[in-house]
Amino acid sequence: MQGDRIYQLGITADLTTTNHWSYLGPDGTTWNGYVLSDTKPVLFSYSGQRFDWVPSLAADFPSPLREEVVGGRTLWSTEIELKQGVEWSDGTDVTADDFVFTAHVARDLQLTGNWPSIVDPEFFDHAEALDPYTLKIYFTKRPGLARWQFGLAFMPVLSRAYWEPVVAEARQAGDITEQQRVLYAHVPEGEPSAGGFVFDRWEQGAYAEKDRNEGFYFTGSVVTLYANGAYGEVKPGAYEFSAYGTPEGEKALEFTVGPFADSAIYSIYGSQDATVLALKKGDIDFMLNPLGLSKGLQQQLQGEDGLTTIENPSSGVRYLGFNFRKPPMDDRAFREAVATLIDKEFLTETVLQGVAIPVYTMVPEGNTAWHNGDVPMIGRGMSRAERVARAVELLKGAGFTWEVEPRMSDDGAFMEERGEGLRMPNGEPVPPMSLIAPSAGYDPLRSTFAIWIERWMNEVGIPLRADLTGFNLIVDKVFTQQDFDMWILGWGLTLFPDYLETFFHSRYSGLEGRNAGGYSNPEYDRLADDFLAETDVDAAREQVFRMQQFLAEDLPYVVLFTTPIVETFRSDRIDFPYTEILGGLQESAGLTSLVTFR
Amino acid sequence: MAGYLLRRVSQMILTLFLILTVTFVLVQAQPGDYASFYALNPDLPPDVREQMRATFGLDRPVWEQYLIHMRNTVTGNFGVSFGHFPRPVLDVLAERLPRTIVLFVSATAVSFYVGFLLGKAIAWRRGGILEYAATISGTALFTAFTPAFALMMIWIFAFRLGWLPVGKFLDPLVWRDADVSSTSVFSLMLLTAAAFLAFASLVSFASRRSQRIGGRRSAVPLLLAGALVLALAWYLSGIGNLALDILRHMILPVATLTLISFAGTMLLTRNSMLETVREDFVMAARAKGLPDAQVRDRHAARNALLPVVTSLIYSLVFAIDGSVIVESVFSWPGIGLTLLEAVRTEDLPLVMGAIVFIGFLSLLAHLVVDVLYACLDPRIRYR
Amino acid sequence: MRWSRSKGSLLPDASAGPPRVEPGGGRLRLLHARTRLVLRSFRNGAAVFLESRIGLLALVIIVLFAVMALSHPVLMGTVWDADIYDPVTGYAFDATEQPAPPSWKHPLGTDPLGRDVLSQLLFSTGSEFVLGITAALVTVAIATTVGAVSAYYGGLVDAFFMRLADLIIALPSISLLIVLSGLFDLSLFYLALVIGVLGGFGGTAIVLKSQALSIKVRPFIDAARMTGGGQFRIIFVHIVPNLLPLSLLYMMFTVTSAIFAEAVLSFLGLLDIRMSWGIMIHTANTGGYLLSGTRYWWLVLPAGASITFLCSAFYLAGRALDEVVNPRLSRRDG
Repeated sequence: MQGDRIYQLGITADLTTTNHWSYLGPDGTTWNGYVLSDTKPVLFSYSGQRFDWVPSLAADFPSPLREEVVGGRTLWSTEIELKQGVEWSDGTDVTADDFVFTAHVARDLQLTGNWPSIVDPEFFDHAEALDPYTLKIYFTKRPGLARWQFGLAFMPVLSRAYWEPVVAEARQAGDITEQQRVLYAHVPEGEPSAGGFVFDRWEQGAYAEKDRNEGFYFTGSVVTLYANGAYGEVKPGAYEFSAYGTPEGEKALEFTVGPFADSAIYSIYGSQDATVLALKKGDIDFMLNPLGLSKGLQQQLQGEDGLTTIENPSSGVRYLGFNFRKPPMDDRAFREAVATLIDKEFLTETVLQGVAIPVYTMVPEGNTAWHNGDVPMIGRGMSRAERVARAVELLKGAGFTWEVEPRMSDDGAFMEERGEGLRMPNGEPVPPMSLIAPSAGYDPLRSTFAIWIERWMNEVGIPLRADLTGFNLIVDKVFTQQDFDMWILGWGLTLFPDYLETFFHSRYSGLEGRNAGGYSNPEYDRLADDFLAETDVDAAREQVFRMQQFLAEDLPYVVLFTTPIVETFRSDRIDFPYTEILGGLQESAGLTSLVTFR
Repeated sequence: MAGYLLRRVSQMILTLFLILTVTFVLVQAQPGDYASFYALNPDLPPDVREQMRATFGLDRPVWEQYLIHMRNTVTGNFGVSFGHFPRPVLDVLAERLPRTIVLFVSATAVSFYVGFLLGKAIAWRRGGILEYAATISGTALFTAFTPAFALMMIWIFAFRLGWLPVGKFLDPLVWRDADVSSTSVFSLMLLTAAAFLAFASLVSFASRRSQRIGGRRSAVPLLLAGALVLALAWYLSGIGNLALDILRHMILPVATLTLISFAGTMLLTRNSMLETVREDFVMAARAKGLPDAQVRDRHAARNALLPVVTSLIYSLVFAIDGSVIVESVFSWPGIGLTLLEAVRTEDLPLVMGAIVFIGFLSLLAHLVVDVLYACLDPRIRYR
Repeated sequence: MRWSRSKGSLLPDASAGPPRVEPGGGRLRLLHARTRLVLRSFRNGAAVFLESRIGLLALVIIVLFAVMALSHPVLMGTVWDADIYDPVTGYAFDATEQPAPPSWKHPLGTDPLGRDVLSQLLFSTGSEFVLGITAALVTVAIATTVGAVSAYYGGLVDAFFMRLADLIIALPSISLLIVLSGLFDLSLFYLALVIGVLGGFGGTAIVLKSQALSIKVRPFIDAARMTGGGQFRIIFVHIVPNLLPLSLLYMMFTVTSAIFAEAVLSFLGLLDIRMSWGIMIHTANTGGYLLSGTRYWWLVLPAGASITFLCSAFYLAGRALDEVVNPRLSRRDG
């Protein structure tokens, strides 16, 4: 099935698999995600642009969780009604059986990678198809939002008819490892799709192609986001759905679901530069890149005819972390002094020319549902002299002393007296500390921050040395050996902010744990535990706000900055229904089912 | 001859052994512990880790791990790539090998030929403008910063002038209707080149044997006929356009590699020619009053060629070794790019596999040219 | 030594001199004589070297770069304020947008992070010299020792070192360096060391050994042996000095390859150093300025051209030296 309207995308790395089990398992690369997106049905999904939680394969929201006794065990259950008439590309119906099959394979074969966060074996017990279009899911414990609504409900459903023989073969294959290997190693051919596209071909190292799914159920659906927060979705003659308020009044956004492209071709280029040239030349319509365009490339593309550039905040942060196992990092006043001295606005706006955006809390602003905009912003708006004065005041207040106290000239232009001989409250000198950060080769932004932080700390007598080194060495020192003082790294973040628990709960402070700094605060642990157990979205939001407030005051991290993600597309060939979205259009894999042609 | 070959092969195996040992030591000595890379890689299922531990003997003492490493390599078991899990490393490399070979063998051949022609010319006309221009520009290109130069070539020829494609090795729009994979087309191209080479050596061997002047004359049309037959076969196969598409994508990298590396061959040819020119037989040929070009090409150059052939080894090895740079700039997913990606993503099994492959290729090139050299030069006795 | 002989000097034999074992003054006189002779032969060689226009050009370029390298600390000490002109942490507060095009304050403009390109260029020149010369010294130290020792002892020692050299030549060195720098935290010094060791035990050792062989059979070595000169003494006092001119030639080539290797590895983002020509281009590349054609020329051209010029200069100097050292080539004009 090949037509004329080809949506040509550029990617900068090859796929590693076309097998969806493997993609959500050990091969979870962004690039696989881009290409394999839009081929599998899911029960629930995020709405376009606003990230509302809406039904997709499900006909409506699930029934509330209910405690019931099954075979002598107390389980929690929920029921979901499925849409009727949703078909696989081979013409058979997508049924509750397919969901049951997928979830059970993930559970029984103990699939790895992203699977445990989707089908969490600690919570998921089993699922049943009450009839082809009614699904019942049983949990062993009461699942929080992260396990059910923002976990299992997002599981891509794979075709039972296609995969059953493969899984049967895998199960014959000896121990569980071998079974997984057989499943992951299967190269799908003619696997049916129930998304907008059917996977067609992968020419290794060169390109991948998806073709339009002629029988896509949602083709022609009209989605409306209302200014009052309501969400509406209508497919004439098939279904009508609305939620989050009354669908009336001003429409913030309305679009029709496609796909309008006959094919999507993903050309693989070796570098961003080559991809940009291809875009300029017109070989491709859009480039997918998780980092967006660098500044130089943006400037090159500016003013080119037929190209449109868009900018969105990215979903991730770069931070400075402290090792709480060593003094003086365990001293809150010290951490606040460090935070005060770091002039994020100066670095991001003046030095880095706006290629970075200063941030003060882990949850990105674009994640509107969960972002707390009222956390304290330490040092914001202060002049250099004020920062130094405030840091001295903080340290003095905590009992730190100097041999030579740092002092700035009155106009704040230079250090009149550099701090020397800083001693901790217990009278011992502050030991020389190192700040490990990625070298300029890996990330010029973070290395610039590290170098400036070193300079500012030394000015007030904090003996800090920026140690610019390879990424893997930082990871090794920080996470594997926990042998360090301070470090600068970054996190890519999911929309659902359960990372606030994994990064800062004391239970993860062991070797290899995500909480490498060893931050441990019983009060915070309690907050995090409550949040995890919460099943109500609104209550969970309040808890997340409180957690952000707590972290911004206690400072296990000094959250430094995030980067905007800049993308360019050939607006003389294609158009998107919307371009404002957290993480950019790449976050939605280039909107293959929504893109329209001129 | 057999003894000579045997000696060279055993030397080659020894070198390969050295490369394996060096990589093993490097990986052992690197700061993040090798065992923990396998054992703690969060991308790998816990049971796979266990199995990896067993396969690679990560729980055993180092010397035992070394023996296991050697055994695994000899049996082609490089393990499973982290980045392409669960594809075996060998499988990943086998996919990329033909691309690297096709590109770099062509580039080496072209740059060798260009270098030889120029070297011949500047040796014949010593002190001329051509010599200064060729020496200086050749050296400048030779020492030009390869990545920047290659990017400039792309910018000029692919973008500004728009004559050639930007990177990659094929055009999806040409290939989407084809039902052959690029790997098989690459392999067929290699096969064609090998067939032609075999035919050419047969023809040249036969023509040398034949003492008649006419026998020599018929060599060229015979070669042309051979080339024509092969071209026709491609045309009729229906995938000729695919091969052409690949060739079109090869022009820019081959041209770039040629510009970068022709100087080495050129300077060597010049020196070699300068020595030959003094030989009595060249003087004699000149004295006989033969045309200048004929003395140069038939008498001097042919004899000056021998030492230059040795340099072919080095240019080929240099090209394959330097493939990392060219492949990454031209989006040519061969072995070099694989090595770079593997190093960047800490895909240690793939790193080891790639370096062993590159080492093996360079050694093979050494061997081939050594043997070729021995065959060409009657003065060499194989001991 | 071939080159001195071809010029009609009697240096090797003269330096061996009549066997004298008297201590003190005699040895001193011998030393003087030898120094004079070495100087004279050096002058002869230098004359040939300078005759070659290409050699002269190369020398001029190298001196120019040396001046550049030396000028950086001077400029930083006098007219350049560290806050603005530091090659790593400086920031051009005067420019409104980075990278800024060349201006009076920044003759080569600024990089994407607002640092003065000229300052980076000059600063890096020094590092490149240090890198190249360290690598070259290591290579030559190892190669002359290995060459002299193999030639002198022959037999097993020789076989071992020569097989080792064969093996090292066959190693894919760029790939190995990539793996090395990917897995380890390579500083400039260690990089120089690695390149030096690879070169020293590799091809250079073979060339120097064959040269040492021709020296070993000269009468003055026999003379030294007969007078009871220790093996160590013969190797390091009689053979090694006579290898030095040829070593110098290979030093040139090592410098070229060391600078080139640094640039490539930095470009690929595999080295952990703060500033170098390679890093300058890498910064331009990660910023996305490399394919902008001529618009941001000052980000790529100065560093790129410096790499080419300095590498070419050392390479051409080596080739000119080759004409001096290699009698077969220098004879040709006669």
